[in-house]
Amino acid sequence: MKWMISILDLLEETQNKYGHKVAFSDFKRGVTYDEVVTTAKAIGTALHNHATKGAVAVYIPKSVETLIAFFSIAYSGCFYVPIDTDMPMDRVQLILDTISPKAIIVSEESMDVNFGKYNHLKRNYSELSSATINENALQSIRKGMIDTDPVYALFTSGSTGIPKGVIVSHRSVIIYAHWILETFDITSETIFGNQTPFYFSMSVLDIYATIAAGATLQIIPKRAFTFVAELADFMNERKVNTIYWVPSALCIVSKFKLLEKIGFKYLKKVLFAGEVMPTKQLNYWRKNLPNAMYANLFGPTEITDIGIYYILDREFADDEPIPIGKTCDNMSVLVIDDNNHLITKPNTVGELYYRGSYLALGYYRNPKKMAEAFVQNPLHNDYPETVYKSGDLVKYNEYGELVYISRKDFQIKHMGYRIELGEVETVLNAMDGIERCAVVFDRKNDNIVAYFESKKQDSSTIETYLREKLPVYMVPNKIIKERNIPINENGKIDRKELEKRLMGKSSV
Amino acid sequence: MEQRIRSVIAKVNPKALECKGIDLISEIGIDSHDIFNIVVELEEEFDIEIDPAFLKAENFCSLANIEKMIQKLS
Repeated sequence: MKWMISILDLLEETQNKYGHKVAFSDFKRGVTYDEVVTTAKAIGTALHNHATKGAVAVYIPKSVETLIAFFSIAYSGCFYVPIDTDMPMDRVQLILDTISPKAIIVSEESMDVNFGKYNHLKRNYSELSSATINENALQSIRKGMIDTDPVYALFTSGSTGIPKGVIVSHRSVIIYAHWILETFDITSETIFGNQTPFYFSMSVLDIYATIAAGATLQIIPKRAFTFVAELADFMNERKVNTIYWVPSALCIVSKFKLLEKIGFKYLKKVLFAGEVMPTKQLNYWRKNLPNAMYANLFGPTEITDIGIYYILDREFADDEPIPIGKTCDNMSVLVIDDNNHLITKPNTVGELYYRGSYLALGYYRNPKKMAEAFVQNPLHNDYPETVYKSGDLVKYNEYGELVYISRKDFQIKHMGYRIELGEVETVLNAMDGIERCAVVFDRKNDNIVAYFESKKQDSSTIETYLREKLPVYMVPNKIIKERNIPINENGKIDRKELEKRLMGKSSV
Repeated sequence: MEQRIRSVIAKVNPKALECKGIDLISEIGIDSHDIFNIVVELEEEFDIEIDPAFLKAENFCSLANIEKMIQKLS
């Protein structure tokens, strides 16, 4: 067996088997594995004239080209940094300041964007791709690679507002991709319908499971999540059989009752992660697409994508949370209490730590954050063993499955009680007629605030319902009807924006 | 009719009152939640039922196209 050192080994092994098969496709065009490799090598050769180590930013609207650019950067020996082309330029500058890019790959559509002091680093994708491949140069770059070299850095928003770049190695991605293939039976027959942006860690599954299996990745146009008839058309025309979406995207489908009216004819596997899936909405999916497999995946960018998963094997009531389940192979978790002791018994809440090969290399040029989160295993000092301290609170249920409680900083102290806002959300989400909700804490005024979208219910019916279901100290002080609960760039509920609105109001 | 449609959409997105109504997607920037609410309001106002199969950009891109869709459905 040939040992895989880089994601390029994954790509080329698949190219040998499935060269003529479509690897990636967007609304406009599809590219075969042969085309991906050829174009990526050409761009890789051209980039190699600029640098063979360091960061290369990709600033191309989500498309087949974005993905090819990623692999071309790997060929050049650099690591890629995908940048959201809808992101405010101030934040783009912060990221560029952090990574000091060797180049910024742009497309015709993003060519005119001004990157300020980095503007001279702009390289046009189509010009780069017309370069003549220099196999010798590419080979010598490959010889110098080891599997702990970085593939990419993904930027997540830090609590301080300064983005953190999570840098991940070839090894983590390769091992993770193999686990995905085995666990979810991803093969060359798989057709992914990709929803998540490429600057978001969930897309790592779509991209690397695709190239490891020789599958096809169909990029769903963002507009299809607004005009859902187009979503159904796309899913059915492209014969999508596997999806890995954020729950907010799955909820769009249930909200418009798309499954019973039109349906996704080929869909067999429904994976989700990124936020809590409201059980009521999941039950809608299971009822209307009963033969599909459903899995709840869980993990942060800092461990490549996920470390814990649960394949649904039993029924859940609308007010019961879906467990996050058990650890992936070659990953292990520790649930640690406030006194640094390991929790093993059910129903005791602790902080989740991860050990294993999916762990990221760390934060790029950020030793301070690195030291806070990538720490020595708190259970021993016998030898250096780095674990990732996640800031997520979990507990074991009576089945020995992990259940997510909330972010540690999402746990609040209110009227003397320790409260998990996620629990309030679970109860509210289960109420008949609630489309979406978010519960946030207004620290300044010591108020729990619930936002909801509903045609049927109003603030007073909700208050009556919550008073029946929750202890009085957990009932929100304010219950606010919203036409639109804001969504962030990853498609998840934007809690920061809601908190900002509260701050804005309370300071008046 | 166009005025009725405009005021229905304005309930969901007040920018609709000011816009030209030729290219709603770029003029007022509607997203899936807007569309959902617009559908509910249109169904009520015009006593129609909008099947998900009609939820395409071409049916919502302008006030004129929304009008055409309503006529088809009523």
